[in-house]
Amino acid sequence: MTEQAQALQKALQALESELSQTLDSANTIAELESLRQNFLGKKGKLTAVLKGLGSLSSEERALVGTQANKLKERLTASLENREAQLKEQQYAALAETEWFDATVPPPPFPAGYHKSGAGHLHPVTIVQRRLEEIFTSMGFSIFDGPQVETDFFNFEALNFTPDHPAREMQDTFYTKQGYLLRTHTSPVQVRAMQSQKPPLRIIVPGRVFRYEELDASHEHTFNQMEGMVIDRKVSVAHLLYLMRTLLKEIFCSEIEVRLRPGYFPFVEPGFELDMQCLICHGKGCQFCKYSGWVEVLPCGLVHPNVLRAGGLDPDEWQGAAFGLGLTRLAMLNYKIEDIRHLQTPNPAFLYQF
Amino acid sequence: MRLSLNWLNEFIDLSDHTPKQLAELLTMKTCEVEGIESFFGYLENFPVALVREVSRHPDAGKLSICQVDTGSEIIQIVTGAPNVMAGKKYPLAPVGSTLPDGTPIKKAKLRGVDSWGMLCSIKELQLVNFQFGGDVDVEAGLFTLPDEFVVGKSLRSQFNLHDIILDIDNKSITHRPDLWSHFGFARELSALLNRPLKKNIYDTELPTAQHQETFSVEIRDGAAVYCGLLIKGIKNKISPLWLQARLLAAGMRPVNLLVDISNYVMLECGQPNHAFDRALLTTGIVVDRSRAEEKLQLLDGRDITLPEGIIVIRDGKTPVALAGVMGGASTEVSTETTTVFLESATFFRPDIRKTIAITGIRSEASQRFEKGQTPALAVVAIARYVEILRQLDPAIACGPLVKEEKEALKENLIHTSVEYLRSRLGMPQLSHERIGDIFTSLGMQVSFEKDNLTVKIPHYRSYYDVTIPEDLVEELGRVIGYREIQPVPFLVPCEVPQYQNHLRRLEHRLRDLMAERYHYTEVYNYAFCSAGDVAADTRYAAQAVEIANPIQADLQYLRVSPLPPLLRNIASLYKEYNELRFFEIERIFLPKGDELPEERVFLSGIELTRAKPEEALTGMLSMGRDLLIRLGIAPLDLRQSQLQEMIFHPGRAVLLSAGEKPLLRLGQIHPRLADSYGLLSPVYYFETFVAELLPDFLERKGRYIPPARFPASDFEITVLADRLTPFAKIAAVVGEVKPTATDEDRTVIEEISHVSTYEGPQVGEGKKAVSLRVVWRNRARTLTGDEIKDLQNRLVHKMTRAGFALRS
Ligand SMILES: [Zn+2]
Repeated sequence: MTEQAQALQKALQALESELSQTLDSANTIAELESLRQNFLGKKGKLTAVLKGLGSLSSEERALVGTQANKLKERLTASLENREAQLKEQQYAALAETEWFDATVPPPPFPAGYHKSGAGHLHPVTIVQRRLEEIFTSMGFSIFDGPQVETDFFNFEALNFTPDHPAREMQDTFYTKQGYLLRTHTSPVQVRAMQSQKPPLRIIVPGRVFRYEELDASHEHTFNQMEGMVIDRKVSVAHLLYLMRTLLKEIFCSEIEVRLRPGYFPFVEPGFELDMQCLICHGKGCQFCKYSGWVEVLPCGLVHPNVLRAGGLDPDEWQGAAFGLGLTRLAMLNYKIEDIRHLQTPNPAFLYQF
Repeated sequence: MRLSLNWLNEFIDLSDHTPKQLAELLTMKTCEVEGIESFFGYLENFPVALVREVSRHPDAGKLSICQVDTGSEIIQIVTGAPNVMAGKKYPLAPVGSTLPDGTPIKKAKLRGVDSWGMLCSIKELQLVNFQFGGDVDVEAGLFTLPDEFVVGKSLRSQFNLHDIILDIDNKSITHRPDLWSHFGFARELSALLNRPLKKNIYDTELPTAQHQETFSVEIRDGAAVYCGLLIKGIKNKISPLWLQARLLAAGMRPVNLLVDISNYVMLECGQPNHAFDRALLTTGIVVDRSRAEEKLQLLDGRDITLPEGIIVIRDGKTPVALAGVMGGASTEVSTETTTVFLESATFFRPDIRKTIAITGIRSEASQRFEKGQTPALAVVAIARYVEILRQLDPAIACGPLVKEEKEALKENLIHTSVEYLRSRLGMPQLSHERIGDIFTSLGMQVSFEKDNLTVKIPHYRSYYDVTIPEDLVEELGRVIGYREIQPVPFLVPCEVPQYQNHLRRLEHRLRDLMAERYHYTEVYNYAFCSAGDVAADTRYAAQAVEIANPIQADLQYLRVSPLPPLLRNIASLYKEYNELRFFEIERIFLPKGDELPEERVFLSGIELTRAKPEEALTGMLSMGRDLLIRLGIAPLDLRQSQLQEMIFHPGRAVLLSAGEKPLLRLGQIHPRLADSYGLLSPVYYFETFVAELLPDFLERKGRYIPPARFPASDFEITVLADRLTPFAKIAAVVGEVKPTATDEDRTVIEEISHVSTYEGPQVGEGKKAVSLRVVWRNRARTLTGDEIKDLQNRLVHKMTRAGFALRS
């Protein structure tokens, strides 16, 4: 090894011991930063030492260069260690150094509360509240239920037997304990029947979950609203009236609707309620896939097995139920093109509502 | 499921209905039709052309110049295909047409020679799923058409592919096992249109046995019926094009004649069936449950190890097929096959569902069995199979049918009343006659006894389909059409006390206050979070509910803290905005052993501001107090105290309580935590649980004090204290704030407020000067000058004695 190379190696060793000696004397982050500049910065000591590399042979250059890189890694690590240490010391002192007297009563609101701009409610909240108002005015109560549910309430009580092929229709999140995240707000139908005395008229707005990859029109998390009426006599004609009134109130105009067969295990008969497309008024457009109709409300008469699961005698009580996609309705109402906006905190989106 | 209209028309005359009308009819009365499609419609644009002459391109050895007869003219086309021959017929893509992949055909010049269109290959026409047989080679180049094809006619007409497909949404016929076939839909349409079937699949005659050889069949478990038959003298080959076209129209690919007929029969009548190569079977068929660790290679090449207890078909002891789902490779038919054992059996829905759930293997067959097929179809499928095979090859010879039956055919009996049907539909005028006609059209047998009726359901609708009176309501309603029903409002029982969701009322009140009064914007965050998020805040739970099938690895747990998602919200935006305020009302999920987790509804908010920390904290504190007061908590009950919690800055956090009850936490987020979420500026946070606010919100007691008639006296005093002395400690020296509501002659402290705190050179290191204002009042009279003086002196004395030197 040439003398030059040996000298360079010595200089590197010297650098390392120098830094380890000075490191502990750096007591602030700022001091530490100047140390970093001093040793590892563009004009630092390491750079200066490495200028000597140029005059070495290529083998020696490779050897010393590798050593220098390793040294740099070690120096960086020890600087970082020290920084973490200093930060922890700082944090430990915060209780005294940055003490805010929690017991000082602030001036009465709004003195001292200067916040620019207004706050905004989430579009789904706005739609949900409008619906809650409509339904409470029609004598409905608002119910809530757990979002982590049992298989019994989410499926079995709703007439999805364990071997039921329709379970495939629901892509379900399970917890490790064997519970599941509710795939619809319908479990609350049964919970409400069990906890309340009929007759009953309830709505259940809430968050539901489906195992689905995220894209512009699919979310694994969205909001629904369930509705149910339990009474002595409940007919398709009643359901139809209710649905028409609801849509009329939501859209503030007479809406053309049609009922056609649809299959859901917890209702019998089951329907899909379509409303005439608001964009083309039934003539057919891209939004309604040129059919003139938009599917909005799955509904039906409550299946006797569901009434039984709720503890009611199907010979005595009858029911009607419907489900409404709150998220979908909000998107329809505000013409929101991408479902992902709803769970992303973007002021450019949220401040418009 | 895809329905071929040609196929339907074999069973029922639909010639007076357009496809659109049929789709509309089915949508309104039966199921969802997702689309109408023209089967290979684009082949209309590609006529048969005859190449009359071929000559070599003068400048390019691989190109040929062809004189092509289109039926109306002779055009010149240059092609690079090696197999072009004079006197042969090929598909022509004329100038102006577009290939199925979207390539437009234009007049072109190839190496200086004009070309007026293109002769096509099988791939270019996207016909690769067909098996053309003979010397047609997909890879050879041009598609050499049969000599009998007429020049100038479209390929679609020459291949006889005129058909329309209705695409049915499978989900919408989950509950209708009878609809999983063309015949099923034809039968449905016959009821809806009230017209007879042209042909009934159940009338197919079983062949008479031409030899006496059989193969034994035993059901040990898992089948309602098992039929089998030996067919000899078979020549397996590719299927005729019409048969292939039917399969492709219905969405299945042709394989070979024996397999294709199986699929054809299934698509036609709904009954899955399977042809085994007899030469590869040994002992006899046994339907049985699997034992653990048994092995089976499936038709699609997959090797599986069977779980215990699913239904398999054995040859003696060896499993040779996954019952009702898929055949095995070891007994698969091939071109060598001369004798087949044809199986047609009915397996039970729960067993098939179990096989699917455990193995994850699905097929067209399992799709039908999992809905629940009628066992009556098993024999029909065999009869149809033989009928079709014989039509194509009269030389075959059938043996006698072997049949084992474990269950009698089910035909449900449903008792109901006219009144019930009328009232459930809301059609009070519905006549006996109309009810009877509709049920009859659906294949049901109705007998009336005055207003009561008994309906016998046909077997094909008796399994998992029409079982209770409610099902009859649906049948009636959909066939009539719901359009006929007049909406009727509910009769409201007004004695019913309504359940009041007070929690919801409070949530909405909080939302209004947050948005309108405090200028926070509402956000929705997921219920899911990462392991890091769980570890970041363990104040409410050290462990979180874990999702067994998370959609992403970092969404594996349910939130145990309101904070992490909000931190993330701010972290993604803080570089762009100087000020942000978000709030959220949602739930955290706290594990509770084996029970369902506790779902606790929180209100939390996060603030990014460039204001000084003291200002920011005072602002948030002022908001917090105002919020609690607006919800009905008496201002005098509010307590402020220093808060030490892992998420907060150790010196800058406040707990707001009502009396002893902690209600709202607020403060600056610990810089270490903020740092770990990539946040380098200070952020402020508050949190409260909605259920804990509810009692005060409902009682709204507040504490009313009538306006006083006599003036108060206030006094400002400044004392010196150590820097870390809480204000409350100094205020406590003054005495207890206890305004009285009665006008008795008693002087009380009505208020102690903070005026200012000063730290700096004038008070010395480690010290502060605190100014406070004290308000005294006597509700019975005006305080005299002397009394006031005395109160003030006593206060000064108390302060000094407590160690707080006075500062003027
Ligand atoms: Zn439209």
